[in-house]
Amino acid sequence: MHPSIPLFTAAALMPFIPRNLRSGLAVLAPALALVLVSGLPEGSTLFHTLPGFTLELLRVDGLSRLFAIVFCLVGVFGMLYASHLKDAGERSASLALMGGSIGVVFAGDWLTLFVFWELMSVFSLFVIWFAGSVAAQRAGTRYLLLHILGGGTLFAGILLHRAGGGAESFVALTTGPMTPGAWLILAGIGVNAAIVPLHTWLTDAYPECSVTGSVVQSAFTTKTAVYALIRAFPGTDCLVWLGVAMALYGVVYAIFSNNIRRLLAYHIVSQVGFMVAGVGLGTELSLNGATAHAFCHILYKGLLFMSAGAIITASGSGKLTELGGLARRNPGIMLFFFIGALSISGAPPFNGFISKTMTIAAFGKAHHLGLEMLLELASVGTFLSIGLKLGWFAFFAPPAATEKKLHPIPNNMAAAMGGLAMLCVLFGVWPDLLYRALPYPVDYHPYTVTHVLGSLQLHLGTAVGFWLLLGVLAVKPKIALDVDWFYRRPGVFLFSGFVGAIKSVGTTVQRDGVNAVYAVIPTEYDVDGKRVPIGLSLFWISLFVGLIAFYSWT
Amino acid sequence: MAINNISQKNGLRMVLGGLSGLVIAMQASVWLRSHEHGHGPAWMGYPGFFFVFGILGAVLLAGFAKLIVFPLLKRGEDYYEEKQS
Repeated sequence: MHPSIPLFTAAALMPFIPRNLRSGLAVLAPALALVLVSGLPEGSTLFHTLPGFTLELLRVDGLSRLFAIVFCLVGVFGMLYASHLKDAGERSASLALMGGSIGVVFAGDWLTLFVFWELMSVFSLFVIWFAGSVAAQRAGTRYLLLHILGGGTLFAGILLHRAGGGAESFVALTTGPMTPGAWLILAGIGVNAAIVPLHTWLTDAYPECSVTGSVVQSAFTTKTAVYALIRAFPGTDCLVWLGVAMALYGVVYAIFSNNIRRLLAYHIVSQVGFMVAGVGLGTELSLNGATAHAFCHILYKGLLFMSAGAIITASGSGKLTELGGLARRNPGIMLFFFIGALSISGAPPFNGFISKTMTIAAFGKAHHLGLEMLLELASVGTFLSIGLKLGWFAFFAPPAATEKKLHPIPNNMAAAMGGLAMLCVLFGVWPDLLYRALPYPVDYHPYTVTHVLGSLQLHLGTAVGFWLLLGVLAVKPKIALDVDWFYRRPGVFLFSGFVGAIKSVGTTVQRDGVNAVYAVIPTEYDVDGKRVPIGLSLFWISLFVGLIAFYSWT
Repeated sequence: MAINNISQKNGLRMVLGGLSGLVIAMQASVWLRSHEHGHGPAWMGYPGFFFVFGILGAVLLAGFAKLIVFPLLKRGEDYYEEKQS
């Protein structure tokens, strides 16, 4: 059975079952999918024949199974985190989003990939909209517009690729020279991978989701895109520079973000940058690094969004300028947050250390010293903006305003954070657990004296730098403009101007057309005839008759 | 009594300084025995290289982001809302 079936089934059933059973079903569905994924032997396939072509709905190999396993894992804990909710809507959309993601990673041909890709986009849009706020509705609409653009580009690319005689199956497009179809596919996947400057849907929409919705969102869309890049575009040179640019761009924006979930969203861009760069380099070590980093990233980023959600639930605010002093008042959240923060920073013995250092080492091994140093710089920025800045201003700095009463965190949220924190530590101290599941044989040892001492020094040096610049890094209650400004400001004015022009042309043509019809019809139609739409109907009918006559004649 | 006189700030400074010194000393002892350092150039293995890289990187990134980029791009929190309503 296809592992996405329990997820789609649970999503469809969710609104129709009693409220007290919903939480159980929501956790059970990804757990069942995990069992199904684990039981699928490599090489399993499932075909479905349609007139004219055959869909390969399931194609299991090491790479697809690894992504599916981590999607199910984060699905279980994400649904546990949300199990205090009563309403079905958001969880139904979340389960369908997981189903779509698993469909993408098991897709064996381009058309199947596209169908699940679009399902994923649609349901992630609903996860945003279920937050219910006006800001979420607006961000969701912008998300929809960018994903229509991305999906359309991907589909156009697939059609061009097939029209040019490209393979039906979803395999690497880099074996020959890149065709226009392949470039369009790359651009379409690039939207979902949040490649700068196509990243603003992510940093715009994720902070507007509900606290439970943003945990689910953080795992799927960008990582299915990383999976698609690993599969289709290994060794594409431009991805190296795009990835390094993303890694640095994300941390620069994170350094001055005030909204904690926007800060974390910029870090998705940054961390996906490491993976994209690894895919672009295309060596066995770098592809293993990108895969391992995607796996670890899903776990620690889920934990970080959970901690951010717990902070918001407890204090009622997600802005650093309104937080502070939480270490004393809720040490539990602090513990989970710092496990996530040290993991994303790549500090030993957490899971980011075993995956991020692998990606960076791949650049060293390939003698790209400059790129290696730029990625190390991005690592410095990661620790600076999450572990130090977010950690300091949320937990240790004196509270900005009078201390508000903290609300208790539901037990299920704490349990979910505990579960992901354990996984972050488990894969950190036992890297072989992950390494033996990677697509290529691994010849990399993270726990050498040089690696561990180098990483510790990097983190301690960053902490000293933070200490020196604490005054400069003080947060301000401001937002920073990003590329989305172009379509939220001049774009909106241009679009409304364009729509206004079309409307005025339409109105003029219609009015003059109606008058023209009245000019030729017999005079027994009195002036009151203009008040009924008969003239309008006559105008359109005569226009269509004229058109049909024209086409029949030509 | 002496320990009570150490402020939180000084305590943090001492912990940070002590840990940094310890880690750099550990790397120096390893480096003195063998100068080999993976695939990279020799200077990457010098004791304290990544410590200095961390400080300079943090100063560079924080200075670039907060003193150059942020002043150009910062707007009020209701920047997008105020014109829409």
